[in-house]
Amino acid sequence: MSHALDAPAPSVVTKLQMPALIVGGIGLVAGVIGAVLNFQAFLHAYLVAFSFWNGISLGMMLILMIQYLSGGGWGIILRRTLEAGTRNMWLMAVLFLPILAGTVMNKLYIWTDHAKVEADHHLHQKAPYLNIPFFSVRLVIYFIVWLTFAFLLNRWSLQQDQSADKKLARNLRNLSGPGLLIMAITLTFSNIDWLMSLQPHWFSSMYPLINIVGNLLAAMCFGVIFVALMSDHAPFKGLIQTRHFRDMGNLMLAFVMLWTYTSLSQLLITYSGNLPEETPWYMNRITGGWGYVAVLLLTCHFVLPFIVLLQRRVKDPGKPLIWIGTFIIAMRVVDLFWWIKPSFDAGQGLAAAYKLSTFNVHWLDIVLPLAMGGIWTWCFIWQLKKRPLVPQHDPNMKEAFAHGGH
Amino acid sequence: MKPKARSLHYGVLAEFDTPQQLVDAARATHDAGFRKYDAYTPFPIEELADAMHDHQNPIAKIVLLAGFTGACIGFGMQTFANLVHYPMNIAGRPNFAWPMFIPVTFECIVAFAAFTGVLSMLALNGLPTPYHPLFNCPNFSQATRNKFFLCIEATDPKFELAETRKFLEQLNPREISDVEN
Repeated sequence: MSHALDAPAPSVVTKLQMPALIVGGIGLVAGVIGAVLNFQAFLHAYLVAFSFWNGISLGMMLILMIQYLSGGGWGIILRRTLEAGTRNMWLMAVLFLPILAGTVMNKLYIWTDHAKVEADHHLHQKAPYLNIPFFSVRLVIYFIVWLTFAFLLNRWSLQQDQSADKKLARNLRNLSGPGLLIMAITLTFSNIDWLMSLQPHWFSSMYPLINIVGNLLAAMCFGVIFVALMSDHAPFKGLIQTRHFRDMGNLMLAFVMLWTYTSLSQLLITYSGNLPEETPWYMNRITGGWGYVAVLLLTCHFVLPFIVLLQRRVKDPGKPLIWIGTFIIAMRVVDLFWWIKPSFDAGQGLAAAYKLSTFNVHWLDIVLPLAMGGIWTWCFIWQLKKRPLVPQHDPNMKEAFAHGGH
Repeated sequence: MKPKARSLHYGVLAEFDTPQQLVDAARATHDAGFRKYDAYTPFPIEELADAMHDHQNPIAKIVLLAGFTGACIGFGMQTFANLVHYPMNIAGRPNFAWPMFIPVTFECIVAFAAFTGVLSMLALNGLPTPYHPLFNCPNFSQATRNKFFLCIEATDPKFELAETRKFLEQLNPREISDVEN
């Protein structure tokens, strides 16, 4: 291959770094002001923003592991972009601190309120799991696991570039198999801790899975957006072929469908079960104005991306994926908002059916996802510039970039 | 009744050793203005469809239509059964409990689309075909093993046996044979 594989990140991406920093900086100031004015509203918005951006880092790690096991040229092209995202894991660990503060200060979760726990049989029963010390221990475990995986995936991949040692490809595969299992477990439990416990009387075993699929979808879209932006420049120019973009578009389509499948499954299980501790969760999210958000999600998180992504003329050129990816990412934030926000003004436990949530949105709900996105993206581009954009010595390299199918 | 007059020849068949030669030959054949020709290979070659400008197959549209039909039938069947034919109170849910209709609707979409897809693929390929003139060429059995063939058919308006032979000879095939009907 005669391409300049070690060309630096093209300016089309690096020039985004400064605007990202400005958005992040202004948002940070606004966020601090908002936190001082109304700490609780700040926490509610912050949880949405954190869940989304943390999910992108984790989703990127999942896609990396899946690709090490499955192979495929699309993944070799995406790899450095995804790796840069996983190197933001430390940032997410730091950014968790406000949520921890909110938990300790009894501002975010009802199970931190001793009086309520003592008065409620169900909460009392769940106290051995839902208490601040154990919550903190689990939190530390999650981040240790995630930071370790991010460190190893990045380290071995870079060493493979430099040394061409065949052992490293095997190491990466051996890490990815059990790694995916451990990721699934930690993601499930972190989702139970951080999101499902907002309404601790309610439970759904499908809920963490919807979140994992949503993370995969958002991470895939984010990675594809950046690769499509860079596709006209070295080192990608001439290297990316139509079939790579088609694969990426197909994966976006697959995750859109999987999101729909898991979301519908949860609805069906709740709908057919018809139990008093489960149905209020949906009642809160389809009445009082939230129904419009639900319809928006059905049409714009499923129907529209599904129809658009079916078409080859969208996938093959690559560039249209930038727009559809951005659109899906925006819908993913709405999805998380729809999950999280109605938890706060709804009745809990036995009161759930009598006090349903009404649609409400705080200015921080819009500012904080953008602010965290600015900071996240700034760090992401900073990391992206550090390494060559195309990895070397991958065992599937030759067949991934051979022209034609034979 | 007189049998329908058939031309003596089905076409001219050229044999190639490598897929690249075949792709180049197909491109040249298309550029020379031939339209009724086909390529035969032991395995799928993605570039071949590009070279032949052969992207017009209606399968996608047929499958979409079949899936839509399946959705209407699946959803309609359940709506009819639950609202008109045999309304029943199930766990206090409304008779028109549409979320519960989705799985069966989905299965109907898949069943209709899959069966229609396979069957229309066979129909559009003209299968089953017990006899094909190409089987008259002894070498043609190699098409399932390691040789690559291009056949310009006699039904092409530009087809002239001698001219077409001459044209194919320029493409450096290993062998050229006339295919008899």
